[in-house]
Amino acid sequence: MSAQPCRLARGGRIDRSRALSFEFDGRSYAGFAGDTLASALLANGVHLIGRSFKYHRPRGIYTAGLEEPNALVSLRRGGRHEPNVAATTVELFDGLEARSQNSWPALDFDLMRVIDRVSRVFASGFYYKTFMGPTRGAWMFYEKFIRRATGFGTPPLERDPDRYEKGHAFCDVLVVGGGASGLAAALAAGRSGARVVLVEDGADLGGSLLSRPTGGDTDAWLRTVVGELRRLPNVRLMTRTTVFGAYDNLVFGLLERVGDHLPVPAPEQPRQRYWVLRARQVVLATGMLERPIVFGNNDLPGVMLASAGRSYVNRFAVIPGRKIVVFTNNDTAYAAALDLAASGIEVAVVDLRSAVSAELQHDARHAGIALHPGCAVARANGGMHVRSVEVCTFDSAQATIGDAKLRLPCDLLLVSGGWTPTLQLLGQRGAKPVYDEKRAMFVAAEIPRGYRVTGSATGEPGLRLRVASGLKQGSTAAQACGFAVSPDAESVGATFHDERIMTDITPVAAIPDPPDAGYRKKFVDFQHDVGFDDIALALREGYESIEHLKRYTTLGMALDQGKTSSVNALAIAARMLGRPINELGTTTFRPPYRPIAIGALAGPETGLHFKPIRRSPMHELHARNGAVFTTAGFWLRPWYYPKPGESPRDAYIREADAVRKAVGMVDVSSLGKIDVQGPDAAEFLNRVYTNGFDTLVIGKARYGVMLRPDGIVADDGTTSRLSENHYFMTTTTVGAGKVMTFLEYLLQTAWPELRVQLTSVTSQWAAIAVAGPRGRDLVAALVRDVDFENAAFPFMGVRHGHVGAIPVRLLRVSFSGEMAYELYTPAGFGEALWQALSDAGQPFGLVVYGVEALGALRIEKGHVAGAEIEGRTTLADMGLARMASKKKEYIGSALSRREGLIDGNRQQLVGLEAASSAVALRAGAILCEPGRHQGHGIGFVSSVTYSPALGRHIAMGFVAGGMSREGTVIDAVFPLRGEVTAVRVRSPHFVDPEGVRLNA
Amino acid sequence: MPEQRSALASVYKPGRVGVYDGPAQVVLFERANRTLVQVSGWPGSFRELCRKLETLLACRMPEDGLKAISQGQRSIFRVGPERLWVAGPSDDDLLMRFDGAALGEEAVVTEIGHSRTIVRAAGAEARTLLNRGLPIDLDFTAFPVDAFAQSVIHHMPVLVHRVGDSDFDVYVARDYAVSFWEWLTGAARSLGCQISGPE
Repeated sequence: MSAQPCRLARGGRIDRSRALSFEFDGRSYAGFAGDTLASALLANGVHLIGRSFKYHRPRGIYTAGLEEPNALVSLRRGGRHEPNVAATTVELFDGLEARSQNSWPALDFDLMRVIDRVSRVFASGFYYKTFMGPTRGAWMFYEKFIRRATGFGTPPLERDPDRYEKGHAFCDVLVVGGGASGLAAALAAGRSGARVVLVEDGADLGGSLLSRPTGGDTDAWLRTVVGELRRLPNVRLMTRTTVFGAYDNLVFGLLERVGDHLPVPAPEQPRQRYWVLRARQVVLATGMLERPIVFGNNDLPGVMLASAGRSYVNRFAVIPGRKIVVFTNNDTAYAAALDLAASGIEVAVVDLRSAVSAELQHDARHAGIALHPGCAVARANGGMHVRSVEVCTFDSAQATIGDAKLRLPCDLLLVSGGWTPTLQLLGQRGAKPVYDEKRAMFVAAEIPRGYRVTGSATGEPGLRLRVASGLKQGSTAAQACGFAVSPDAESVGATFHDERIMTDITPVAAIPDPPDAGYRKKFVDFQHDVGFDDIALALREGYESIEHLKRYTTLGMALDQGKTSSVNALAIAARMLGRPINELGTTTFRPPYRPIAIGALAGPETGLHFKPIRRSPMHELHARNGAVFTTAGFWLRPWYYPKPGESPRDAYIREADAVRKAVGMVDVSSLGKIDVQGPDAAEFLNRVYTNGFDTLVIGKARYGVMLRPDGIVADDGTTSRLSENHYFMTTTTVGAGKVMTFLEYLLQTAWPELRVQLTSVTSQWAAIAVAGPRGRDLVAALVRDVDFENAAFPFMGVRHGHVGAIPVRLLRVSFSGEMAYELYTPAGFGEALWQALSDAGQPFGLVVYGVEALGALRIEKGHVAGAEIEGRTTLADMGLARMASKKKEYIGSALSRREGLIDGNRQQLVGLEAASSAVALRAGAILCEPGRHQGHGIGFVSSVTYSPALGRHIAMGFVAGGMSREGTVIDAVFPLRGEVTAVRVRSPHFVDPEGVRLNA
Repeated sequence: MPEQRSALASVYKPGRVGVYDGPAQVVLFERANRTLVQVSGWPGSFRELCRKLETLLACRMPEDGLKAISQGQRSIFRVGPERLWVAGPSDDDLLMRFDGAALGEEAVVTEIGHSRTIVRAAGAEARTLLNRGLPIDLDFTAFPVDAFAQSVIHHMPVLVHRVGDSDFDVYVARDYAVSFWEWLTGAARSLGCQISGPE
């Protein structure tokens, strides 16, 4: 393990009492608690972190924050392996394993670097222009080689062992950003009594204050403010949390990294938590990001932002270089230069501006800093690390470079090309920023309702004004929520001096190449290897819209979403086009602000909790009986009950056969059930069903069909009249929700005058269908208080009885075509009723059957179900035209008479049987005239089964001409498998067409 | 009347869930011995119906769909414009007292006691637990005692009723009860949760 050769002996905000060890590319290093992976690597003198996306150029650490474009690594192993993590955002922990990406065979000897040698060939658009031929599928061939040669890390292949949680949070005032202005805003709002949530991306509060030298006034201020905030019960401080998305109505998406700073999450704790936060007001104190400067070789390891250099030396006590050049076009980089010089490091400043303020000149001279005003770094030199820079005179008015050259040896080049306020959240709300020419930055223009922007996110660099602004915005946000703010709410007990302001800036798009120096790439977007030349090429090819430019070059894409590149790219494009930056605008900001793991988005909704499950009251009995379940909507229903050694086909055929020969029972609790009550209930039903219900007598049920307003069949079921004003409606399992919603819609909007109350009682009732020739014997043996004689309890009758003490509602209805009853009991008694039937049924040969056998029975009988009521069929299509009342209007009646719906050539329901008894039919097969297998055919197969009663495969389907084709043989074509089966058209009522069995 | 079987019978296991260190931050239990009756009316006569109910139950009726009226063991929720839910102990003779004779033709009475499973979430982190799925602000200032909301948790329709400073009753459709219970106990793992015997 190394001894951290680049760590200062003292200072910084690291905890030197907690030494940590970690690995990078298999080599052990030491660090301290409070380090990031990036700072710990720099402390160990490691600057080469990865290889670039396309050209495999060596890349180092460029920033100290989440905007990092270069230092992407893979973390951990196995299911916890995570690629493409910015080393600058990784909190160091003991045992951390990190690996570099996109190199082969090794990071410091990458053979793929050869691509960089011919990089001028691989310009933007090269792949799409070159690899499209010679055949149409050529790209698919080339793509895998291209992907192997370029890219980021590899995704994990094992299942993620960690948990992820979701949560909803609420507050009056959301403060985004825990820097000076954010803390001030939270404090002012918190003091008013408003519920405040302050969200900070990092582990510690303080923002850029943490990058200042320790022990200063700002540290005392920070301690005081954070201490007060922690004591306020109405303030919640969420660190290690990112506001990644801003949505309608002040709804925000947050990601809390609960366990990312630990080797593994604490027991039972999630790795990450996804929050949906609803706020009444929001204060954006999101700070600003420093911009690079575009010049030759500006991507070499050892080139980094000035603010990052300051952060590493002050916060992490790391000396990122021993001989440093600072290249700037504004005042702020001097703070880094002075702090580094104060650490005993040799520093020179190259300033684009020829006129540097006297104060800065004095400070620089006093600190022993060599100052080169009116100059530019035109090129960095070095192979795997910067060794020197070429400095030329620079005419800022003309943006031209002079002949005079100076080579400054260095091992670190800090750059500052100005600042960009972080306004992505505003942008996600559609509020595009505007370019402030004077300050050379995009600033907020239109502020959406409920939003406030404070601190350096407004472009204000001075600490005193940032804190004052935070206090003011926090107060007004609280007031907007109705909280009174006392006059002293905006006092924080400390005043800060005005600091160097940044209005004195010389904007620069890119530094021209020095004379006679040859070509070197100048990078704009480090992460996607997009350079100055790529932008020029895109513009030459006509991609002048910034959105087109982005897509052609891939500039501003990938993990960092152009945080360090977008403004420079705009400046370059604007200069090349001769148009102002504002005219070009910005690209569209979309969530997420920083990468979010898919696991966090899924949250706990995986495996068992992928979706909720509806279970029948008898579910556990079915499971104990060995049922195999299938889904119907959210419901789990018994599909079949296999005996040992039985296939699914064997099981359902046995079950269906037993129903025809003896008796069976099936759980139909999932049927939709709607309680319809009120003086106008009969009239209401008359309007929604195609057939009449006002004539239905008490104690009887009737099959009914509903149409959609457009005349297409919507759903079917039975409705029973329990008393004068009380009906009990059943619907299909899957249609229950939409039927209930539609009926309620009609009552509330179309017919508010009707006095009808609808209540979904699907969950209230367990339901069991008992069917078969011995069905009556079984039910009569068990149910008391009911006369089961045919005359007393006829087909479609409704009665109430008891099984022991259990109340039972009986409907004599049949889906199978057999003598059958549906028994309804309150759900809490469902298991007891099922068990009683099961016990009593043994002497009658009772079998339990699932929905596969149920389907076989109804197909044999010719009853339509979901496969036939599929959103395109009419009553007449299904042979139910007689159910369309001619005495009344009903929902859908007018449009059901449309020309297209009464066309005699419509496909109509028929039965189909395979010409050969051994051939199985397939649902979805296309019906065609024999030998004419073209186009859409003449119909389709909707439902198929093997019929135990007929001993052959049968089907229902729709065919043009319907029953006029009875007896003819047509082809059922299944192109996916190349199958053609001859089928005979016949009546869909395969079994007992006269209804003798159900009326028995 | 025979005993109702709880929808949670197969999955209900009293004991500790999740974090074992320290006291449980949430206590969960089923309120099995509760029943629920729905009373509905019509716009023109609902006030009169409420007056009859007030006489029968000797308590006020709720004015809105935000706050329940609780008295003794009963809670009354206005779940729709002219619709009330009356929850009470399962030995409450609510149904008998709400027959047509007592309330007249202006009332529609629907027994829905079997349709809901009621789970109590209590303790300092009960609110946190529910908010892992419930998009409703449960802060005391926004959701005081007797406040209720009809919403969804993990796609399952629920009615959440605050019954105490840190106690909530969740009414969930019976056929979702097992799924809800699995979600709830899963979400409680990181908080530390005690499952008590059913009430």
